[in-house]
Amino acid sequence: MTAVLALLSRFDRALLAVLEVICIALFAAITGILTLNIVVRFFPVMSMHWFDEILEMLYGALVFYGAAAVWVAHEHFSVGDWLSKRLPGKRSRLVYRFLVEACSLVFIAIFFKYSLDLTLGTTEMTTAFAMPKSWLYACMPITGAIMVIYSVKNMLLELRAIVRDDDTVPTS
Amino acid sequence: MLTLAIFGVLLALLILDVPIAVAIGLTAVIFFVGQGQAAFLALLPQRMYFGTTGFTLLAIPFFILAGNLMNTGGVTHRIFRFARALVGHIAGGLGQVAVVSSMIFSGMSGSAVADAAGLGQIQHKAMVEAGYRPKISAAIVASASTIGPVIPPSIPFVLYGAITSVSVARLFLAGAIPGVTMGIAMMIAIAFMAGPRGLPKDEKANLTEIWESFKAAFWPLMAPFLIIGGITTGFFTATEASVIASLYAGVLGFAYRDLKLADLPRILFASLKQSCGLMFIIATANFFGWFTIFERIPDALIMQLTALGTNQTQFLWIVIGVVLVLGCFLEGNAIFLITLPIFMKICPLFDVDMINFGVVMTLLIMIGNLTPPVGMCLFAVESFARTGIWVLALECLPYLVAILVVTILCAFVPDIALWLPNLVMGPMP
Repeated sequence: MTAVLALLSRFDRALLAVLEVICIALFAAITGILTLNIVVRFFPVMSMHWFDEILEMLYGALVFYGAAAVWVAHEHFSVGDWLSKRLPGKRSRLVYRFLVEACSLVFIAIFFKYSLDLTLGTTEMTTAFAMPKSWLYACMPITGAIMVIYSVKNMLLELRAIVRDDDTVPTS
Repeated sequence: MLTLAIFGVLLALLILDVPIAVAIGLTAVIFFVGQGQAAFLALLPQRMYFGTTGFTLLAIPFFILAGNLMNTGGVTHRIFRFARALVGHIAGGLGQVAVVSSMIFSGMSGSAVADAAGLGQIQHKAMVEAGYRPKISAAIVASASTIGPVIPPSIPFVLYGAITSVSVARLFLAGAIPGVTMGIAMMIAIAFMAGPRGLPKDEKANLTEIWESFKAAFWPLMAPFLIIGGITTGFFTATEASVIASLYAGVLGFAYRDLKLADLPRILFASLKQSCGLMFIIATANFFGWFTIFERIPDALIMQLTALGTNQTQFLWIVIGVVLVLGCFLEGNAIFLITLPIFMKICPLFDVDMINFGVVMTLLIMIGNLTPPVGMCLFAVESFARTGIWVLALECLPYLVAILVVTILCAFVPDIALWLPNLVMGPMP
């Protein structure tokens, strides 16, 4: 089991590194296009009719890949765990944390299901590049799948902790 | 009744420590399914996608990056040194320096938490070394950091503009006078506390020291003029200004040799995670906002308010009360995302100016940053001051009162905020 956890931890780091590269590349592209747009306004050497469309695609992808990185790192914003400390007994605290993870999994699973339906079902094309809108939406099911996998992983770790009655098991 | 049930479920999920983005989205899901309208869940991804890809919202990661670059790039030290030479000798000494340096830093950064976590550490260290008790120093640092999003540029103003479709440039200008007033009110509060708290002060700096520190801080001091000047003269939009701000912060960091190329990926990714965490909340809040409109919650509230014969003054007091209570439990941007779709429908009914309302809402969420159990600036300062959240919150009280007085003034005297944008950009059409 320890070997499996070590392997998972290595996989987490590798996935985070990949998401880091994707996010930085998308952000660099957005910065470049926005800067180019300012320059072209004063030196109109080229048309930027594609500006809105490409920015929308890049920013949409950045938001969802970035959110997946936050999810993997278990750094999403929350009010703070000040309630579980007041619960009596180790096991009740573990069950409470398991239920919180379950809430996240339910929502992310719904998001994944409907974003996949949208991506596979859309027949719309973008205006400037005439490319399928499914390309724009693809970031949602991909990142949704990552988040579902990590929610399941966190729940399994919480479940393991409940069985062992050990609240020191990290979930990320 | 439905409204109460919706907000009850939302608040319960948040208090249970469910991630904010999930709590907001799941509440809408629960009520759609519970009312037999599960088919509408198909709109969830579309609403989330288009809730985040607005051009105005692009400013958020860039302003967060600008703040993080300035905190790493030595800009904060220069600003602090200049403020110390300027006001370190007046009653409250380094406390006054903390407020003035926060006001200057606010002209470049748009996030209170970034100010508290970056510049705040320098301020706190200097005050403790000068003999301030840690809890007093931490309270001043936490309170001063809330000036950040009121003085432009400001992330809450960007968000408010994106939700309500009012001009972000106008909002930026409207925040200037209330932000400076807030700083002055806090300086007065510190001067009053200086005697009873025994706050030490510096020797008065001579002109050479002031000039030297001014020269060292000259380029960082020019950033607000570049950002606000660029927007108001039409050279660039608020979103483009955020790109300029982060590029400028990066150039300054490299020019001062405090920022290394090897640091960039780490700072970039940290800023992006911070931004995307917030943007994911915005995404689910867009679905939640649409759900509240679909359920006609604003209409129900309007009917309730008109039936009670509510006038503008009473409405504003209700808003102040509601946002202050929510501020104890929710992060500021989440309050915007949850309440604005409702408030923006009610404001025109009571003839409330949407620009001034944005300033008042921002001031209110800044108070929320200082009120426990969930006060983001308290958390940021507590992470390095280690005084305990409740001790810190109690010590913040005098400054909180100062901010509240400014907030109430702005709410009922709209000209305080509206004078500058009307002067520079002309009256609202």
